[in-house]
Amino acid sequence: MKRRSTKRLAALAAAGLAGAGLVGCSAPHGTSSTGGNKTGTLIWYVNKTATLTPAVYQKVADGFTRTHPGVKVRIINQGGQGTGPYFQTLISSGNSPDVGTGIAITPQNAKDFVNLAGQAWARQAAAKNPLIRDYEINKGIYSTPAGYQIQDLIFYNKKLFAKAHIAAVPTTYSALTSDMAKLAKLGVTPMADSGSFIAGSQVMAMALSTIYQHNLLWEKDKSAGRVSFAHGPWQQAMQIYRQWIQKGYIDKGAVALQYNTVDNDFLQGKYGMYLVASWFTGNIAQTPPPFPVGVFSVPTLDGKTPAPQAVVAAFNWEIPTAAKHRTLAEEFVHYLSTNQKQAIAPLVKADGDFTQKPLYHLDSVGQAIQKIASQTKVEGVPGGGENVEPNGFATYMDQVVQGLWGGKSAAEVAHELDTWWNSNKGSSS
Amino acid sequence: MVVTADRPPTLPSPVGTGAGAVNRGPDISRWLRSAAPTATMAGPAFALFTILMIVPLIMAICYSFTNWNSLSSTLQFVGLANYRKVFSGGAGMMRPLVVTGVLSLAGTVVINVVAVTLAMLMNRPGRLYKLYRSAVFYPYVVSAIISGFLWSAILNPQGAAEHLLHGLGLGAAPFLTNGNWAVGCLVLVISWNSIGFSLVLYLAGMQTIPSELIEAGQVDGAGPWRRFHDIIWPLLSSTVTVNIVLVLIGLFQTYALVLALTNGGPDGQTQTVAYQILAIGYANGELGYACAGSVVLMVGTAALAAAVIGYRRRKESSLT
Repeated sequence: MKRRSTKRLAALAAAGLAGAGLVGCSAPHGTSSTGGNKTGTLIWYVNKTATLTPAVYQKVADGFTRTHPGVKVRIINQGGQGTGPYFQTLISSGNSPDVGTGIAITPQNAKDFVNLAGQAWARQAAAKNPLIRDYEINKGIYSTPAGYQIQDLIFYNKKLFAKAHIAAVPTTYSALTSDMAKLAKLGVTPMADSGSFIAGSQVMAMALSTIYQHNLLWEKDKSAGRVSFAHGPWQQAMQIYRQWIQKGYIDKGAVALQYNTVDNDFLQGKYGMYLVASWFTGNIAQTPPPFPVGVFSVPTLDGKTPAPQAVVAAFNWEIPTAAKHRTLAEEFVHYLSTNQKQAIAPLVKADGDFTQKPLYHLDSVGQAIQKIASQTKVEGVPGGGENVEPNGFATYMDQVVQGLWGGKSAAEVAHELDTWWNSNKGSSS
Repeated sequence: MVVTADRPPTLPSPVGTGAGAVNRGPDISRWLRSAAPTATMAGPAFALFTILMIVPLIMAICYSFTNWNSLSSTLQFVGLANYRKVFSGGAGMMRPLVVTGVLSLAGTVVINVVAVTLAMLMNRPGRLYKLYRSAVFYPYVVSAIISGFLWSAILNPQGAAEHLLHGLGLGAAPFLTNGNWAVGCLVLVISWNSIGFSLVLYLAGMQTIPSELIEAGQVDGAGPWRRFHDIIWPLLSSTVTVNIVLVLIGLFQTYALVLALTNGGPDGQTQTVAYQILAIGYANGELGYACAGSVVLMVGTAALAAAVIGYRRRKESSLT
């Protein structure tokens, strides 16, 4: 009898402790992760790249599991352009990760993701980080970007620039084209380019650096029929781009090259310049080139400087409503979004991304980018939050820009973009 | 003389015949007992087939009439909107349908012509011929994705093919940068990848042809072409039908090779229907549209396969 009552007491005590632990763990906290009695295996879906390796993610996950005994984090990784689609596949097949990245959350699909606006830490983070506010949907917080990439940058080979007697970085397109001619005389291809997403993103950077001076809601205006791709900065940018292709300043065979091939080729000195986002600093850090690398801002079409910079969230963590461990997932996202030392710093450093205040030692290239960001307006990127583009726009952009290699005029490509957008607007889901 | 007529055999009387008898109809329990072994042995395969093929097919047809985005559990009926989009120009599947048609027809011709030619040349005993057959079959075991990446490395502007042309003093060839060239390269790579399987089928078919018939032809003075045309080719009819249908159905579903070799480019000119369905419809969360494309592809493939089989059967029966 005595033994049974002891067992009963022990069970009650354990239950009480567990309940207290659950209540304690569910209360919002500041920047540190809470301990707790929750157990389980959290599925974390990540984007694997050449620099964001499984080892980097594992280190981040270990920082969370150290303070959450009984919790395991299983990392599922996917690389390249398939990140978002594979995330969707996992959700639709009933194997939803608990935390993931890669799906653009829009007013149409926001209901399929957890709204963190009820969490005090998320509201505090949004108050401090304008990028989180840019991604809000109807005041709901569905993703918490923890770092950003700057889009409109041109990395250049300082050695080749010196050899071509280019004394100062160009600030207008006519100066940039003239510098390309000088580089071409050296026998190198002035601008690195490839198929996949590089060509489309280069044209976007050239157009948006001008558009953002006047209109941050271009996508909304486009869907309302107030602006178009034709006759404006988009068509101008594509005209310049086409000229570069025709003159050989961009490789005529670039559409058949993979982007990682071109990344490596630039680092080996085969190109004079590379118009690409700030994530490329991760590649430079991983494979230091045998020449000094500089960086400058993409010019504006009207020559006004400094050009506003578009940013993209580097790590946009989302919790599908289909997640099996929702409470644990919310804690994990809290950790990923606010723990600067163990979660944010390792990831942004590996990916060459930036935060409002630098979290890692920036090399000369990183410092140059930080200087560009501090001197210009850094604005949210289109396609975030309510300023959405139709589903598949980026993919279509990458495809249709390749027509400039095939002989299509800028006007024809702009017309195709207008046609596609008009028949797909409202499909942002 | 006594003549006795054979009595007809006595048939068993129906059960309960006569006044008050009840006709029980067919013997169901007996039927069930006789069908039980068949059902037991075929059941698991039938269940798997139903779960893995029939159920997804029905679901795809249902989803093709909705706007399902793969994320949400709610969806709306949109009627034929997805099918109208499939057959629209621009963002629809008309251009991919043409590309798929060209790839399939050209690929079928190239694969079958080359495979039957190689089968004629290699249908001989000897270790050397075994080695040749293995060498030709080897690409078939390489997956389409690996084949695509391999040939992309060879044919891209920095690849071995361009280096070779440069070394021979020839200009660069736009293998993957020109739409027509890229489609041509797809046909060749698909053929390289698939010829081995057709070769095996043709060799098996040739080995069923009695050698006496061919020897008789030789004795009669028929040359190699006459022997092939008048003896071997007619007797290979059923093998030809099988090869054409299998290759055609396979080529209609070309996706992985396009993804790896050209990624649908340049400018979307090598996108096939399967590529549109998976790399675009699925990737953009337009599952309803992707399912509509899948249904169209299935119906088109089935119709073409039925037409080919019907035509070939008429040909075969006219030859026998």
